Amino acid sequence: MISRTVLLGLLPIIAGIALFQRRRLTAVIGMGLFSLVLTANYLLHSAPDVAVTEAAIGAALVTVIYMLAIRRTGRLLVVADEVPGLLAFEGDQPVGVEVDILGGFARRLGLDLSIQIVPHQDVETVLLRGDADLGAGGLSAELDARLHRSRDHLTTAWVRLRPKGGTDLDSEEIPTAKRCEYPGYFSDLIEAVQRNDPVEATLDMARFLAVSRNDLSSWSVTRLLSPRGYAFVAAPRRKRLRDQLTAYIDELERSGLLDDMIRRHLA
Amino acid sequence: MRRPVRTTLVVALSLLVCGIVIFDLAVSEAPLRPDDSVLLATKTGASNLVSAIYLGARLYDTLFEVLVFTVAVIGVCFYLSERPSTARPSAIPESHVLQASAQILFPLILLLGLYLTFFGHLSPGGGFSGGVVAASGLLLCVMSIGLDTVYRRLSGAGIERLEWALPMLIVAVCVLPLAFGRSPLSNLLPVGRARQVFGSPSILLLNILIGLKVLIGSWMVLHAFIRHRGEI
Repeated sequence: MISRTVLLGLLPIIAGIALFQRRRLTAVIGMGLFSLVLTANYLLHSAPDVAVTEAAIGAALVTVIYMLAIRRTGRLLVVADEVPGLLAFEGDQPVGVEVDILGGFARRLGLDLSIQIVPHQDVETVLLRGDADLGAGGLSAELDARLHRSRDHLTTAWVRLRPKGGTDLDSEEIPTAKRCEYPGYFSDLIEAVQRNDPVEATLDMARFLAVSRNDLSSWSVTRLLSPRGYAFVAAPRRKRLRDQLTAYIDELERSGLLDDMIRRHLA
Repeated sequence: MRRPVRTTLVVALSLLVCGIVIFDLAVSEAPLRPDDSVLLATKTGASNLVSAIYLGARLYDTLFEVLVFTVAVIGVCFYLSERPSTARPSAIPESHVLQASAQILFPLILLLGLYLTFFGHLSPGGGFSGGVVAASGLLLCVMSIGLDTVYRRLSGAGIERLEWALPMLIVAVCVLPLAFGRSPLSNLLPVGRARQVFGSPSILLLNILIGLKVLIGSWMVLHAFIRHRGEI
């Protein structure tokens, strides 16, 4: 009798815990647990038929179907190219200023942050296709008008990297930079520079700092006259997400946490 | 309705339901076993009273269970087919543990599903739970060897046609006794000895049909979800 009462008492507690979870995955697992306790209840109350069905459907099948259903919705999918200091992988773990901001933002929304690395030029395409929620990775350029740009979190200058010996362009000839330009992934660019391939690139400061750790004696470096801010970009129809992110960055700045993050990763 | 209010309501409701059940348990005696059910068990040859009642006497219970499940499968397949399908749902590559354990567990889960279906009239179980258990075994297979392989081995779309034919067959079996001037769900086949697998042939037949229907239906729901919503 006591065990039955305890099991019955557990039901609303587990249901309550499952209800108050911010992460959907945890909530679904809570529901599975609820089904399991319910199965025990049925069993103790001489209803083994119902218990078997509840165990098979509630604890197994429904949990899996919920997981499949929230697989796309339960996470904040970010596409980005790696930028050391802003967003880069150290082993399996993403680190950087943008990772800190997005991690906190995802927690605020109750989502799991999932970062997918794509070449810099493809961020826009993937977002326009609707395959991701946010674009990141040192985005400072004007992108497609259908994408929603958040507020800046850091200001950057632009640098033009050209192999020496070609026609030199001074800063007056290219006074502004439209976008960050280099072929493929950022790690490819680093490797190309290390191999001394004659690559040409337009880079923001975070990327340039990473490149400048290599020997740049055979490149001419020109600083361009268009400082801009790094920002995140939300996919079309995700204007509300952009507004929430902008509000979150405002909040971080007011509390001084943003400066802490920048000091920690870029100082 | 605002979220905290809604949550409080749900919790309050759960507490109320549990309170009622606890009160009821505290004051009531052991549940009575109506003489009718015992009679029914003898008539149908099923020693599991639940099976004897809903497959031996309750036509609407059986029919609407099948109908509700079919409508659910139709709904899921219809609405998910409008969504773009995941290009290549592949097996999870890194989970060797899962692959190894699936090889051992899949036959066992399938066996449990078969047991629940075939012994549904003798012990707890039945076609519905047996079908779902077997479907979760299929799900384990999908996780280990990939959706496409399982789909191919189950002969793809052919099995789906069977899914639409089975409800008709179940309805036909249920109402067939009417043609012989007897009430629906009556035992047309001879009742054998009690506590034998073939002791209650008509309930066994219905359990097998329902089990097969639920297995295929659950598989179609899972297939649609994986194909259009996730990437197992």
